[in-house]
Amino acid sequence: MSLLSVQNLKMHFPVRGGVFYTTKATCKAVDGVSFELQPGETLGLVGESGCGKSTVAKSVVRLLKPTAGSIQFNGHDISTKSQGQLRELRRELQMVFQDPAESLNPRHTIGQILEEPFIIQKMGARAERSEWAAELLKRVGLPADGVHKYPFEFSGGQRQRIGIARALALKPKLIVCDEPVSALDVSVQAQVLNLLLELQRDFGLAYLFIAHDLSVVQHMSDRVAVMYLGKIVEMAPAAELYKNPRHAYTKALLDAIPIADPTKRRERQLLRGDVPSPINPPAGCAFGHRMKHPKWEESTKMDLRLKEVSPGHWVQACPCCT
Amino acid sequence: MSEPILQVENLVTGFDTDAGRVVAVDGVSFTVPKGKTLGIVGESGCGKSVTAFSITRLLPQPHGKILGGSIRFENRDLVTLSPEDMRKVRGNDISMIFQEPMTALNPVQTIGKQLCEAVLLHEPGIEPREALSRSLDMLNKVRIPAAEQRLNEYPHQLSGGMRQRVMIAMALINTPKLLIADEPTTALDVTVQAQILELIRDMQQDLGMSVILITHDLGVIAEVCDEVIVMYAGRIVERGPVSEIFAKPLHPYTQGLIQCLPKLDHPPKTPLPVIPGMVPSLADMPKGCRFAPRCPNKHSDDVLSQRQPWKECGSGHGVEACACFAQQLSAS
Repeated sequence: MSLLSVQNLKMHFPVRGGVFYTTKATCKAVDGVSFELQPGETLGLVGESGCGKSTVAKSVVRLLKPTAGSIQFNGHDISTKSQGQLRELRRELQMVFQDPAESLNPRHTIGQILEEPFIIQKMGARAERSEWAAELLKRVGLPADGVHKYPFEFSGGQRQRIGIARALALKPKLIVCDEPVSALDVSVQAQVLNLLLELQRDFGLAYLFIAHDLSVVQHMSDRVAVMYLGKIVEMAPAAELYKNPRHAYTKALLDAIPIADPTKRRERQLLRGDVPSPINPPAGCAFGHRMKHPKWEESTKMDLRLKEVSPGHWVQACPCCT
Repeated sequence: MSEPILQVENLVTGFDTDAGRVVAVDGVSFTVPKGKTLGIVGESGCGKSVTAFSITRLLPQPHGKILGGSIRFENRDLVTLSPEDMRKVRGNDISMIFQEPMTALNPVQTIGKQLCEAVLLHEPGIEPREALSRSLDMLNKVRIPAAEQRLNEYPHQLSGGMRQRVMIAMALINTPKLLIADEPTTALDVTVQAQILELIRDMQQDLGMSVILITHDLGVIAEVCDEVIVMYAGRIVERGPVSEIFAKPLHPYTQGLIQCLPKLDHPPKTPLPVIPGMVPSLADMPKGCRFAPRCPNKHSDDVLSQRQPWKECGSGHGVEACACFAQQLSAS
């Protein structure tokens, strides 16, 4: 059975304005996303800013209540649970945030930060909890006496390690990582990525790994899903997706990665324009619409669900982009 | 090598803080050849932005100070220029674009007004109508769709990529001889980044200007630069043509930086090579090789206490030849 199964997830936000603060439009941040995640697996989620990848992450840990669709975690439907029931589920479902400076309480010591999950879950006596906190710190490669320090005494990379330790505290099965390394320097980024891989191997963790850096996602993931304007347009095993992209958007995205090798400079097919707003998105294939593809009209009359083109490789089958 | 447009000689820049003076840039020398792109790469805190702010004399006041060295631009030393003269250079001969276009643009003025301001400040006699038409030309040049309409819009009405285009238009409107781009694409998506880099490259060719591109992204360096400077903890550790730096990095820091990037052809889910530890604090720098505490090579204590010599290795490739690898250099 899948650890996580997301079916037709929709997250729409009302856009309000005017004198009576009435709903003027709907922002379709996530509009019909489905995927599954197996235990111990990493699914990478890539896309440009505004494509809805962070909204998917927040819905999966129910920091947002989805507008429609179901999110099955370990056989429980997260999208309908009450806060009390969620508390129990969140033992096995944790999140690591992008900015480690802003996701740690600056007025709490590292010990307090790491003990909080146990306090919320009513686990252990005081002495036990502080012992666990020290162990967690050691597990992520920081000295155990760090429990008495405050977040500002640590560098960005170390703070991200603390964020990871906190997510690890309750021995979860799934950690949602929302841009975990994008705020870090390259030399520190590699250290944190290695730590995440090591923890996955040791604890059998599954990751939903969100990043905008495609090389990082490729390195971390078993499978990768590409999102565009609230929808997944392509999903495939990582190696397959990078070697054999089918959707025009995936191709454009891969083509835009700067390669750290001056001998491989190349002429690019540059994308024109920006990602359109998810408020009142176009009908049919949104990317075909942006590219003004002559066959885009056809896609508005079609069923744009993902189709399996080779084992495990799913593509949105629109006539304009595939 | 073509004649240099900018010569930085032994630049030292420091900040006065409550804990005493910290030196952020410590003896940096380099030249920018005419019409070429020089990349400055390094991690946060290495002094790359402070170097740029020293050149444009935009250091935060009153704490930031140029403590020594010279910056020669067209036979003038920018360090000793009066603030009035510097103001004439800045935005006219030397322009700068910043990382975050939203905070660099004035949110309560229209795009058109901000563009015209740049023209009017440097050419006081010009007709406002002429300034406006030049602004419109420039917006068209940086490929902003519906440019005429954009003139009357405010920064918040534009996307991140569009704002960065406006910044570039503003920087180039007086056809500067040198453009300093400080992390111009860091806040942007890869697809937009590719567009902006292409734009900078095209504009450089059209106007024949020189560019200093500051970034932490080696990929960006490899794509657009002719020459590279690698900075670490306030000093230059290696300098050379871009092809040399990537093919034959000499300094262990440069080597580590290139290796620790995840690459598309690297086997997935395997550990990446890392540079252990982190950058030493500015208040607590080793006197000698600053990379020594993180260096994988064996080194003696002398390396930490004595400044290591600079060594030229031919074809413009030079390196701070730390004793831990200097012998291999002379052997090869």
